[in-house]
Amino acid sequence: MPRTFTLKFLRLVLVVLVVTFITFGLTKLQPGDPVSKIIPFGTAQQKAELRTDLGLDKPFIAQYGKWLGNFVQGDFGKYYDSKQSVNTVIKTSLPVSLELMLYAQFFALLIAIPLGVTTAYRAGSKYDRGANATMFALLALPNFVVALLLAIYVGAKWQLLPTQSNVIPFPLNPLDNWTYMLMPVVALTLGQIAVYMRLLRSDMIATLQEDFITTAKAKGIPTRRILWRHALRPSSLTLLTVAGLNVGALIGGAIVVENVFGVPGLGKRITEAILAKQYPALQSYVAIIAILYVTVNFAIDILYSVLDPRIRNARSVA
Amino acid sequence: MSAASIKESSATTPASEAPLLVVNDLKTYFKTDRGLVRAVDGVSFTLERGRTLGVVGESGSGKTVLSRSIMGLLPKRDVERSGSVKFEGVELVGADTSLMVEYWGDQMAMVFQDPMTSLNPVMRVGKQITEGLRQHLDISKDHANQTALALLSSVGIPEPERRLRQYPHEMSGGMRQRVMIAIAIACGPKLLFADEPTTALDVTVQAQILDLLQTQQRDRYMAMILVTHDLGVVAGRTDEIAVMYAGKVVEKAPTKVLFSNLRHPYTEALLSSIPKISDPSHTRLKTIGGRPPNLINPPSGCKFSPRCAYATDKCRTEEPPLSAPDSDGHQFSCWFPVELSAKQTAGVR
Repeated sequence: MPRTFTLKFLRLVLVVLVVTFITFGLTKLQPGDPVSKIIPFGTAQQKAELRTDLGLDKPFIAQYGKWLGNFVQGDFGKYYDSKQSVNTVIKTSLPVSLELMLYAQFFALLIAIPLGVTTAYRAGSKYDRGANATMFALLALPNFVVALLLAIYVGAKWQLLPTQSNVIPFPLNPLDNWTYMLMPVVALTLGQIAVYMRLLRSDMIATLQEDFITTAKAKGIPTRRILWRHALRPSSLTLLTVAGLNVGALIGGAIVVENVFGVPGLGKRITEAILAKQYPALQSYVAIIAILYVTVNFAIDILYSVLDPRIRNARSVA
Repeated sequence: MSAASIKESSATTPASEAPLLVVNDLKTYFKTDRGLVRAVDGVSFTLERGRTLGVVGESGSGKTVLSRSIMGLLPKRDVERSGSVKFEGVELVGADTSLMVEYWGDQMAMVFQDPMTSLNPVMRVGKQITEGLRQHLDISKDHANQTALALLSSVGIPEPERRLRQYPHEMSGGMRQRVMIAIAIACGPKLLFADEPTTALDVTVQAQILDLLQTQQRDRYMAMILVTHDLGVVAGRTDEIAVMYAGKVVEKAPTKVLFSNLRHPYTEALLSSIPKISDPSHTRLKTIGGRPPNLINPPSGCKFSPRCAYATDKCRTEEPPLSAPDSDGHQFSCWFPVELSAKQTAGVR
């Protein structure tokens, strides 16, 4: 186990290096120049000075190296103009995004798992077909469409919930927090439910054909218990894998949804950093997300062996 | 059948007087896209407690479906089940799952064919045993664990404490089948089905498992239905044998009578297809020509006629009924039953 752990950690480091290096390259490919953004009306000399000040005149690799060196030491850089520390921004915005993504993931699974289990048990029934059709419809709705529809109807027309969440200090009292978080969470959740439900459903259908399910039935175990205690666990490996990989989609979705609802999360900060060409800040945000993503999937690798004891042994043999 | 009529039938026949299991004209058809598969087509028999019935037939003869149909384990959808199965006088055909859950595991249990797939791979063996116990017997966790321990010892598993905490994949096939038997006998069922319990096992383990089943059956005074394709398996271990072909019982007799006086050509063919140790090496295996019949469009007349060495025109047009039991309790369905001389050439062991 320590050896696999080391390997995983090395993989994490490698992924973060590759991701940040590519992002760094991409920022350089962006047309325009941060200096013209900061002092659009400065003279050529002023601009050259600023460029030297910010280290933008140095070669690409040197710039990347400097950022990386600071990042590793926990200094995530500063905004060019305001000199605001990126660390403080992350401290306030990351929890907001995490909250949003956790809620979305939690509710997507909370709805998808019972749906997957029950539709698999009644595969082919009217209930199954109805649930599948509904979920497909939701899957076809991109989250920005859902977000905008919610903002227009629930927020603006019916005035049920606030459309702009940029005022929420975090953490707020739970109820207030919820009034701000509800619509972003719903917008982010809906599309995920269908994916999770359909995955679990097909795996459950296969599991329910297994001999050990007949054994459980022949033992006199009630159906409900067979579904939840015997069939769900062996059926959940694919779901778990995808739930982990889907964190990527959630991050993408969070960027969109945070912008629609003005949620002061990392997604919003990333958009701002891209538009304002705040390279060091952007770099650090991307790196944080990459670390988050790889760590979640690392945790899921460990969860496999919790869910399926056969995987534990496969590992020790290998 | 409704719940009301179940109560009625149990009221009219007191449980103590009724035979343990009475199967009457049981039919089980599967609706498929290609047509109706008549997997079990009118099977009747009676089984008393403490007795063992062997059900023999080749693949596709309906023997596995028969055992599952009696126990009511088949899915409800696309399955037509008719006839009657009375367990201690209670009608089980058409009974609600909520009623069957009371019987499954508690009154009747099954040992399945393949122990490699019949145990839940992600649940500890101990849990798989205690689960049924706690479901039916309303006992404490500790008590259930103690019982599971005793059960594992009784099915001949060494170091039962350690085994209880293991997962199925940490055990050999023979061990797993012993666990399956422990699970099946856990609640002290009155009727035990063993559905080809040794087919998936090493030859060396087969006899052990069959002996174990037999011991448990005797010690616990259970009725047992032993389903197999191997006449050798049932030879010394059953009181009665039913030979199935194309969803029907074609010959049924007490074990000794069947082996000494078989009457159906199919039974004869089955018996002569068993290789004999006394044969010189390189003796060609005797097989039954042709294939098991298509159960969607079965052949007219006797279902075995296309493969039968003695078939005549009558066999191909008229289906022989199962004869009434003679003084030995021997029944068979054949127009031209095998005579004594022919039986001897078949080489009875």
